[in-house]
Amino acid sequence: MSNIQKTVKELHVLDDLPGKNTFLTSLHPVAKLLVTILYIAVLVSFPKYDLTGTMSMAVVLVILLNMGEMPLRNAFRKLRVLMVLLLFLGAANLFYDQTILTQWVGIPVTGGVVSFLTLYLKGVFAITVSYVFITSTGVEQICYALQVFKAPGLLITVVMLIYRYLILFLKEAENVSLAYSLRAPGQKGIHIKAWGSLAGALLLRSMDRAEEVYESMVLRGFSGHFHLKGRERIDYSKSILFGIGMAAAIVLMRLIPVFEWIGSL
Amino acid sequence: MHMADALVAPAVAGTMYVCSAAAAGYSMKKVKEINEIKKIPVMGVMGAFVFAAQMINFTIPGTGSSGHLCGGMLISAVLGPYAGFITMIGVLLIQCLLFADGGLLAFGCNVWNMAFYGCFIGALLIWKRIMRDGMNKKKIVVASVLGCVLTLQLGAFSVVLETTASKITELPFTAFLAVMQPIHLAIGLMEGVITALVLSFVYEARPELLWTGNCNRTEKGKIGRLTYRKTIGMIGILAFIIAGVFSLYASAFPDGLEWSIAKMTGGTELKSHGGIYNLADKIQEAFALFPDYNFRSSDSAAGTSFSGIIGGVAVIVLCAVAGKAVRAFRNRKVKKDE
Repeated sequence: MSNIQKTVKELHVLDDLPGKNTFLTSLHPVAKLLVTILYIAVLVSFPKYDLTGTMSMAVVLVILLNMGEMPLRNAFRKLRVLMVLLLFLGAANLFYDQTILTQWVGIPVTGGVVSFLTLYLKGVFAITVSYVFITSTGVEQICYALQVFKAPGLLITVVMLIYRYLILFLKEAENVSLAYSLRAPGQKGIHIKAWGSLAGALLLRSMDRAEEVYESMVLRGFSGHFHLKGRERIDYSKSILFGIGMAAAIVLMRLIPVFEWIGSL
Repeated sequence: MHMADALVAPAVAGTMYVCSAAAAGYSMKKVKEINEIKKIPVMGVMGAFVFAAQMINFTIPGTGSSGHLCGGMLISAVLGPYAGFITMIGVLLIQCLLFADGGLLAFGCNVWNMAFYGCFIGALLIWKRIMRDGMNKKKIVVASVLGCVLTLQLGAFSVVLETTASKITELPFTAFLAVMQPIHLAIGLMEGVITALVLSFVYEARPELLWTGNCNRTEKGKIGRLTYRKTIGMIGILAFIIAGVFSLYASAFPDGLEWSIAKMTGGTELKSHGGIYNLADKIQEAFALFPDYNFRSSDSAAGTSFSGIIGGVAVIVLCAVAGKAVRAFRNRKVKKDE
């Protein structure tokens, strides 16, 4: 399966998941957006040596994952690229920070090891919580949440349009790549001689399509922006409770060293 | 070059959100001034096109690797800098939400590093200046390559600055810079060539689609202060300064503000005495949420004890098991009801 096909498949999965009937999908997108942003902001605010503090944020994450009943496989697939980046930046800590901080079962542990692990956990948790948010909300509802926050209508419309046409254009790019590879068997990628004409032709076709899209949108009464609506079955009382409860849990984890306390029992 | 949430501190993320929002607000105003509804679907479609085109692998001759299009420069060359910037924000938001390329908190940084430089510096400073006396293929190639190289260099430089300011990595500023800048120079050259070839093709086929900044039809007598040659020279010097000279100074003086304070007071931090300062310190100590920015000591060994980690693992496992149990119980109940 080519990269483009994998991306299309992934997009279809992400499109279907918010339609599931779970506790998280029944909530208002604004509540989920605020909780996600608060979670990430608090997560990255932990000091670089506060490993157990960072770990405590996993509790909130596990609760969110259970509420959303989300498959974790896709989230882990997304982590691969991030892992390489964090490995590069985190590995430097191992060499540059040799301060002995503590001992774990008799083995001295340097500040570099602790900050490296903390950085890794922060990266993993931040991606996972964003994944839970997107898979339980969907792009359309996120745009609705942005609209509630008075984000510019033009930006929301552009995001919606990109999302709507993304799969279409990915399939078009896949067709172009496939047609090229069939005519140039055994060749990896596109040869330099065809770079300009291949992507250029795709661009010209896209512009023509934009013209058609515009005409059909005008025929349907388009006046400059979309009018988005929230999901029909939104449980407002649950959303408020969720927002307050999760925000309290996140702040609690930040202010009280819960894991240190449990470990000392 | 997408920055993840783990790489930025909240204060840096917030600052970059403000900077990007200011640029977005200005772009919105400019696009609204034109008041061309027709452009909106084109922006959406172009965003989707850039997304799709970036998935196509262009084989780099003589190497086993491949490159892809430079989105910011290409979009700006077609839509102009302001509409291009808004479209790039849309592309980056979709990438962030659907493909985990860059985080929600780091979104402001990513918009600045990848969209702002590409659209404002690439289009307004380079493309528009070079095309002011009219467009031709040679100018398109020069503008594309120069634009991509410079905007990627600036983007990479910003990534280093933002990460260093966030105190995430122990990697020295100069070492990080020495890794990032050359890599992005190679990437910028490659992306510049691909973008140049695509735009040259468009110029041959449909030149009216390319953004000219309304300058290519100016009469000879109305040429502005900067000519084509002067612009190229100026940008070349700018690129040299950013790539080389700044990094040398950066190694000698890590923080200009601290350096200035040290010159004046003999120390890098100002000391405060007195009741009001002590009271403010105490309040800050009690309520600070973001201690990486000196609100609390980030170098303490607190939170690293083995017992804490064991306790933490136990709680996480317990939460996961409890969640599974609740879910199993719920499924059972649903099945019974059916």
